[in-house]
Amino acid sequence: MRPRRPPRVLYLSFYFPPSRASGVYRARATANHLVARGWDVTVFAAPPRFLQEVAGSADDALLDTVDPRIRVERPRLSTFRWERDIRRFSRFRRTMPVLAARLYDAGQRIFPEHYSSWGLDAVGRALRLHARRRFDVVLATGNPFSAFAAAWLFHRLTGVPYVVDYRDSWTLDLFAERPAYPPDHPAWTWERRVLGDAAAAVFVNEALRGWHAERYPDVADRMLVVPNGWDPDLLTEADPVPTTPALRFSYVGTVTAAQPVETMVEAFRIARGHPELADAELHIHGHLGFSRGAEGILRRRLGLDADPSAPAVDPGLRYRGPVAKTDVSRAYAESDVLVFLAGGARYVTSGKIFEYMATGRPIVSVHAPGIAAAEVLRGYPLWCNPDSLDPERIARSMMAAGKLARARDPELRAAARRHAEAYTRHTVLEPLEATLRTLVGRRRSTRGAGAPR
Amino acid sequence: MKARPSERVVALARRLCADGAELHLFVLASDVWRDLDLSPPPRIHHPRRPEDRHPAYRLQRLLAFRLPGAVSALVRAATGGRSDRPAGRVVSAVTSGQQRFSELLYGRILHPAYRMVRPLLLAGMFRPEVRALDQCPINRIVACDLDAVTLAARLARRHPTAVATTSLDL
Repeated sequence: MRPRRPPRVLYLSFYFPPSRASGVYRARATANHLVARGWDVTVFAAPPRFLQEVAGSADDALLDTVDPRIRVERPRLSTFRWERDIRRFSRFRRTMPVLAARLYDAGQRIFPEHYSSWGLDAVGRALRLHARRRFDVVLATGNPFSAFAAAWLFHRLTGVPYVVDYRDSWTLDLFAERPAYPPDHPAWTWERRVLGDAAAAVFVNEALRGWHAERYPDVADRMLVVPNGWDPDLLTEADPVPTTPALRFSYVGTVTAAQPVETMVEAFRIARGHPELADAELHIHGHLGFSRGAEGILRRRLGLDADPSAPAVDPGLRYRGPVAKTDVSRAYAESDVLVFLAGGARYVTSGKIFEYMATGRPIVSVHAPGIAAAEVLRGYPLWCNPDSLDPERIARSMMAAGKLARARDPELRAAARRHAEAYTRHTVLEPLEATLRTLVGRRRSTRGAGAPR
Repeated sequence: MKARPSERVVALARRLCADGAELHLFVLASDVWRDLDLSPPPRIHHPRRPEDRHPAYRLQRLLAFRLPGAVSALVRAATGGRSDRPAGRVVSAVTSGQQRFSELLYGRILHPAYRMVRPLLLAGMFRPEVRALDQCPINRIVACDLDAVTLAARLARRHPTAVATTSLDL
């Protein structure tokens, strides 16, 4: 009798290490988790040239954190939209640039995303791999949502069930909290089509699941929430490292244009006016923006000089630069208080909050009230929440967090870490793994055999 | 055709001039650029013949308007300018039909087709100016719009060390 083969999953995740896009940690953890649970995992990810030359955001150290048993394929992506170097244009595009642009735009009318060529190539590759050894299930994560369309098309051609993971929202503008497209936009048709055939749809918080369930009630019973979490393998024990008697507040993560950056700077300035925090410092660890060109704007918004070597306008503010995810523990170890700076509100959880909680340090919120992240912060004993974007109130929360940091109560810290334990990646990913396993079991039983084909 | 260039294009030109670069501008309407008063002034290159004298441009006008117009004129002549009822009706039907036909032919077929080949035609119109720059060292070639891409590609071929880009950022 032949041994039962491990279930085989095709994971369509454009952003995967070495990408350092914000959603890459969920994808990395999902692939690692599945392979640890005995799955045969094949990941389709972005081509390296796109990450290096177009996105300009790659962290090679992250590649080492991917389980070597995972097979990573990188389907081709047309860089027509992003290519600026005329020498790299095809002969056709150099000779007939207007016609080339028209043809590209026509393709956008079929699937409205610049990554659709990647999705199409992914389907071709998936079919070739599937012909050699069958996939049991497809898991697709968006953005980009070409991954969803590819999963749908592959399902239509082969019957393999698929699950879509809304790491990000497609048709909802998370920050403006309104539909991202006009009603007649093809994205709606595609989302309806993709969700209609999906075996399950996964969201990062209840608010997002609810928004989609309301719009697609026929699919609501197949929707589930799998929150983000923190990765124990990337976050080693971060006990306090007393550097100076002054308290150190830290923001760890990418600073983005959607965050209330000026509010944070102003609140910290007010807090420093209080004698207890007079010598406190606010350290920012991370990239400024996800893409090239964003850094200058964010430097100005933070009150930092355009010249990186020049001091900040606020002497307590320090920009420490990017920190590799694999070195992030050190940044936490040097911090007394963590500043949870986040854009958006109702639909935004933010991945870093789980890591913040895992450090067991006081957390000060700097975001709009009602943020979805409050779901997970509720019950965290060291959370200082001003519940407002008023700089005065945030400053008072900063002072409260400073007091908690100075007190260094081991019981509170232990309780904080216990709270975070519920959000390790392995814990939060269990329901997703169980869903995928159920689908495979169902498919194998309907096919009448569990043996490999 | 004599539209003012976009603000981003003008800003790039101003910045290059201010940085002391020797700037060569390939434009269809030189007076628009002269009016901008860039300092120090760039070298402006424009085709020897205006675009509306190019055979392809004239051909589309001929096919769309002049030939159908001639047919219409023949009909008018055949009726001898009579204004009695049946002849007048024929003349006005032919005239309005010809106008509709001309507009459709031009707007739906000939002009879109001309737009497709325009970058190639413009590159040909600038051929002498491109050759004249052969001995001039060029560091950067910027195509500021789609129509300039073919011309920029030809310049890039003649200046293999120059950066050739569609990016307006330096």
